[in-house]
Amino acid sequence: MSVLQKAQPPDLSATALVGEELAAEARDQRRHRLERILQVAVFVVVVGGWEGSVRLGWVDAFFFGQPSGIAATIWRWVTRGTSQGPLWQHVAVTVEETVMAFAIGVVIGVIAGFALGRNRTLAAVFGPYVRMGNAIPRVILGSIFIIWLGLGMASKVALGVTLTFFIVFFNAFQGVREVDVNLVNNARILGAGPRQLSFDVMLPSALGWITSSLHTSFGFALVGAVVGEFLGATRGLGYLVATAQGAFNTNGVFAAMVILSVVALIADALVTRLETRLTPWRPAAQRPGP
Amino acid sequence: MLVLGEPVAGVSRHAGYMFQTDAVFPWKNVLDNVATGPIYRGVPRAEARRRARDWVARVGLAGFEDRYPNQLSGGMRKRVALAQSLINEPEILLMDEPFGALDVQTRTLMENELLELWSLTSASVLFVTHDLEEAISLADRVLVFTAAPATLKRAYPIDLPRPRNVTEIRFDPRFTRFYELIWEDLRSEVVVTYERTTKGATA
Repeated sequence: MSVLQKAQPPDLSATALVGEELAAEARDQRRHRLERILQVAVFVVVVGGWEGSVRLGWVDAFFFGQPSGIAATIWRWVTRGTSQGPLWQHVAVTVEETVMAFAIGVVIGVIAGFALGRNRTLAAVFGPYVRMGNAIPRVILGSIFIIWLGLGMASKVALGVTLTFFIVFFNAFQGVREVDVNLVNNARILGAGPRQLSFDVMLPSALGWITSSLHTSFGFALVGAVVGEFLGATRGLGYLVATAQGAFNTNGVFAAMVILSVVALIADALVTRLETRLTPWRPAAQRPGP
Repeated sequence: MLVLGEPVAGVSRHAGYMFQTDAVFPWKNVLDNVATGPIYRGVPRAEARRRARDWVARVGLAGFEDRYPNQLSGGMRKRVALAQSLINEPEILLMDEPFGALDVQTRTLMENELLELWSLTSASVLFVTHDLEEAISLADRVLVFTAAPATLKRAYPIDLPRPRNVTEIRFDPRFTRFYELIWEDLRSEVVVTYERTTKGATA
């Protein structure tokens, strides 16, 4: 007791509280700045270390490439085009294949997942086949699609669809299966028929699952497009990687990789916006992290 | 079993049900949540929304029509659920510990709100609760059930005057008499349940 009584009473006046708040805000800002500085430092250390090691002759630029060389390659591609034609054409082809594969895969995946989630018989009949299909290493299908559909876009789109379909399918299926029983019961008591249950309760409820699978599935659509181009194509970023590899142009491979990453990041930001559009009722905190 | 003179076969159009946990649709805003019932029952959308707006106001949520449930407090979500049930004008409203998850103050507010809204309808309410005070202050009849297997033990008509105010009626001497009387009956069942659970834990 005596210890408590000796302690200074906390200053609770308004000015003291405001001061406290400002101090907390300043601490927050300092922490943010520190995080940014550390972020840049990591980049500088990794890329600088790489460049330095090459310059000092510790690693061979022929095999490992060189950041300045990669930057120069990208610059050359942007300003003068690649040896296989202008860069934007390759980017456009890859993006087009990715978007088509994504759109088709998502639509088929949602429809199939929803149908199997709603219908026990369908699920029992087709469930094992879907799992078998998912177990196939899809990248191998790329070769078959090129034989079937040729070197053009169709084979890449087909490969991308086989990759995205399963992700969306399983999420849609699970989403329908895990609908809150209370919500279904409530809808039924309020007078919902089977159609209304499907489209007014199950679908919106599953939409949360479906939208959170869109990030992953877009990434896989891109993988499908690039791998397909890599296996056999006449245009696209994967084709650039393949030609650079054929010429032992390490910087060229890395340059194509950097461009791919930029495309993927932009696409990811767009998918996040789509997600917000589709599920406006979800609070921001409930969305998947970085 | 007959309800309103008809055998029970599936979901009755005449019944409403208020859930213990939140069962409002998280992807619909307040107005659309309340309008759900009439729309399911074939009322044109515009008419359903007009009626929903009226009910939203009646449960005291005017101005919150376009909020989503996750933007509301627990008590407000209960109001949405209440409006959602009552807009269908049920003849029987089943309530399974609907206010159990609320804090005591909000709970009292909701109980008064329920009494007021109920007095404007013709619905019979079947209210399940563990809270004896809640039971006496709301009901015309309190039915005490035995410990599992639950069978009806005794019915107590509560002839306290209406309109009632849940907060004030608790100080009525008749309320206290009812409480003592029913609690006497209830206690033996509570003891039975308690002994079973403790025995189950040691076995």
